[in-house]
Amino acid sequence: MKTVKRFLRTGLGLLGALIILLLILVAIFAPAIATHDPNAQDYNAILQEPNAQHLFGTDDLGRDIFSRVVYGSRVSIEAAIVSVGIAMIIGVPIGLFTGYYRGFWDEWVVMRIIDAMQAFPFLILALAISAVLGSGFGNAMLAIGIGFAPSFVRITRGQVLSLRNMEYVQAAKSVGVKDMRIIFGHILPNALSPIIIQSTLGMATGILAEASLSYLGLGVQPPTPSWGSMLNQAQSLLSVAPYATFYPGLAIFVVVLGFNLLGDGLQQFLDPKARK
Amino acid sequence: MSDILQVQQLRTRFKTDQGKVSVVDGVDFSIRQGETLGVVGESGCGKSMTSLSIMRLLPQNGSTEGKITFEGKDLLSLSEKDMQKIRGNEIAMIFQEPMTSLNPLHTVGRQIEEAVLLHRKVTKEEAKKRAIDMLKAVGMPRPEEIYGEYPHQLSGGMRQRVMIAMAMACDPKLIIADEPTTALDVTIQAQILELMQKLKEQTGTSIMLITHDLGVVAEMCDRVIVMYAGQVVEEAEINQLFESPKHPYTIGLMNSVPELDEEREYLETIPGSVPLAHQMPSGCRFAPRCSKAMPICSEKQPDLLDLGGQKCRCWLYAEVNE
Amino acid sequence: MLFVVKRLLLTIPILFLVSIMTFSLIHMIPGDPARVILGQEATPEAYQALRTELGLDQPIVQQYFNWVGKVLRGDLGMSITDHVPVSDLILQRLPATIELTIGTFIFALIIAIPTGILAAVRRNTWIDYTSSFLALGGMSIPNFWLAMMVIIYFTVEHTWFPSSGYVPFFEDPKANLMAMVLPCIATGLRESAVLMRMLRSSLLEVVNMDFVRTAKAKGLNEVKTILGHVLRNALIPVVTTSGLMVAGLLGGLVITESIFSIPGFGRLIVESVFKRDYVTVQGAILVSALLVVVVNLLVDLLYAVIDPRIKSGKGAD
Repeated sequence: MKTVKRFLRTGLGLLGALIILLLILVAIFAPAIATHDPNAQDYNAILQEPNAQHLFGTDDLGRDIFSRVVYGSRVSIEAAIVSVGIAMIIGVPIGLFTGYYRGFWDEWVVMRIIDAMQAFPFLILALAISAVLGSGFGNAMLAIGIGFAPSFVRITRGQVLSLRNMEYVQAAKSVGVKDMRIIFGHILPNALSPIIIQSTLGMATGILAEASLSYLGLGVQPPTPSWGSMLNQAQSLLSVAPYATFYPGLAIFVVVLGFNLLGDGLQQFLDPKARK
Repeated sequence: MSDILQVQQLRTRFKTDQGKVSVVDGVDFSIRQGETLGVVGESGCGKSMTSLSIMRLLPQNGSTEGKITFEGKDLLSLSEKDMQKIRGNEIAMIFQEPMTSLNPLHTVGRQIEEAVLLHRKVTKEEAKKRAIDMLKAVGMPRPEEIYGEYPHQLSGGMRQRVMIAMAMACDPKLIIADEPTTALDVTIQAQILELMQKLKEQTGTSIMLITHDLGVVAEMCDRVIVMYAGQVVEEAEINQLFESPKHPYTIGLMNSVPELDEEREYLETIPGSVPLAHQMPSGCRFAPRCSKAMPICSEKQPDLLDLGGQKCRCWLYAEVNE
Repeated sequence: MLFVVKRLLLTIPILFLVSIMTFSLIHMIPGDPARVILGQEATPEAYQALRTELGLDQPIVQQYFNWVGKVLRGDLGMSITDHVPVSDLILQRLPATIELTIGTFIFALIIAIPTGILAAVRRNTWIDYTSSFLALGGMSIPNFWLAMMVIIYFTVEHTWFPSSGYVPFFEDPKANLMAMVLPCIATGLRESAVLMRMLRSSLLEVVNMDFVRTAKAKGLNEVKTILGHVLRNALIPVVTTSGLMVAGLLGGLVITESIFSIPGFGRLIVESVFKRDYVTVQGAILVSALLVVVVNLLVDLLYAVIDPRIKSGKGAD
């Protein structure tokens, strides 16, 4: 039974990896895969149900939904990488230094700021930031990345706290290795697995958040095809053309599921505590 | 005296990554009414698994074969529901770790009266009175207050007293105590043993005392079985055992106990360790560690031989018998 | 008691920082906030009036303390576009959101507790695998898409529920509840998946603890053991994290309220963002953070009720 379980777990993780690989391939080869120009409007083919010509049907401007979904994968990948990238660039170093040096700054400044940031509902914070900075993909990413950073600070800091008293770190310290070298040479490599897990799961949330903001009209601006903004535009057609909302949403669902499966699989694989 | 519990050819196996392994392998013994039976051996010998098999509280991947008769009932063929009526009521258990064996979120009183409410037709007030009486019986100061306290407010020794009160609350006919004093300080150990002895004399209950400590055995037990690698290797009355231990393993255990009145240069130890369940030697299981091993020992398993009241599983005594 | 005081004191620095962050929001607007709000065509008089109203002509520290002083008196400023007090707008919109939050949470619990227990008790069986996989699926569904699918199925294909049309509870309780069912399901599915996964792993940890064996050794059956001894211990980590869930939930409701056109707090934020009504956005964000802080405080106090070890100052571990 245990081996079956292990196989299922890694199997599901592999499925996740496969989905993500597929997403990347689709994004790279979008021009070859798409059957139409994603932005070409065809007034003779408005609101067509899925058929041989238009696999996923057409929207109210006669654009091919399949081709738009294919090109939309580019936005999602960008969203996943950029939002998590920003969050890591901010969060990981802060977590490393506060966890290593502890003291007043850690306890009373950084951690309280993290607490306060996490008091703001994530999506509302992202909404507010993009409201202030103006809508658009870049600002949406910045908003999501900033909203994400606290969880990276927490995870990294937690790892550092448990690693800083390890014998090998103490030993390095006692022979006079410089702090920077200890932090980046000894602690960071050993703290990586939970950070990797968190960033995989974070990409799932990042894609969802980008889609949410785009759905609300604050993320990617038309005519760039993105799954969230497609849903936004198709919403008014809900009763006339349900397929126009079905496929972009399904795409978000499958890709987010892929990242979640991979993250879960990595957790089973990398984190000995979760492996039971 | 009649037997209250008979265990015959008990085999307990676990499904693991390495396949099915036996942790208890053909164990026979019985406990008489009002008797304290010691079960001795190093950790990993199958002592605790034997007791959990009797209680049918093995982890999910464990299974049991053989026959366990308690007052005429075959425990292994009882329905789970009938078994629940026996647990805590007729057979109660005291566990090793008083720190973790009590529910941290329930008051001491609630945990004692839970079994009473479950097995006896009593009102809440009667159950509460019983719980307080039990706390008194195990020598707790201010029993009324302790009744409403939580485990984390008590010391280790106090918690073990609570465990004993819990086990005794329904007047069980048999108590299985699994290393009840191992986790405690030496001075507290003596107090707890004394308490168990006193309660046993008052109630006439039988005790199956699992321990690795021969000192505890000498103090508490009427009869002893020594277990090694899932098998009984020696069974004897307490006096017989200490006067003339037969099995080399028993002798080894005795030589490794420090004694104050003896002038020994150094303590002997038994070399090696208990074999793992999935890599048992084919002959006598103790042979690889035995100083008296003969060629036959690694070829054939010896039987448990009756040497006139005392039983021993060793080739050394087979020749004498034949 | 000491625990309560300590916990209350800990919220003070958080509230302070929350207030600073919310205050800074308006000052994060690139350029001159009043200019951005009013647009280039505004008359110099209107521009000057708004600057005075927002207090932009004073030094920044002075502005902050004026603002905090007003907030403490319940004054969140005037809406730029609607010219009514922001606090009134928020109070109008809050009941619907609170109702949705409670409804969503109840829905999530109804799904999560039985499936979580079942998956843990029948661990490593197909029941466990299926429910764990479904939970990952539930976590991956975008709630706005789920909301649309739910609308298509329940209101377009079958007219079982109204697709929108919020009625206050006290006007018509039945119509109100009918209108709440679909939004609660659409928001709650994800939360139930998160809760279920947490409950499962927490149960699996507790099931192997010694005191569970003690309970069984007393003669308790499986159901009584789980409900009486395992569940309460397993709920401790779930309860602590469910406080954090409220934050996610409020964010999710922003979208659900927009789709189901429920005049709630989340929709107020979205509307204000599009109207560039920064004062209302600022007030609403402050209130949402306050809600999260208060809920987390309550959760921690509840935690102390569940776990007697907290009150006496001994850690749970």
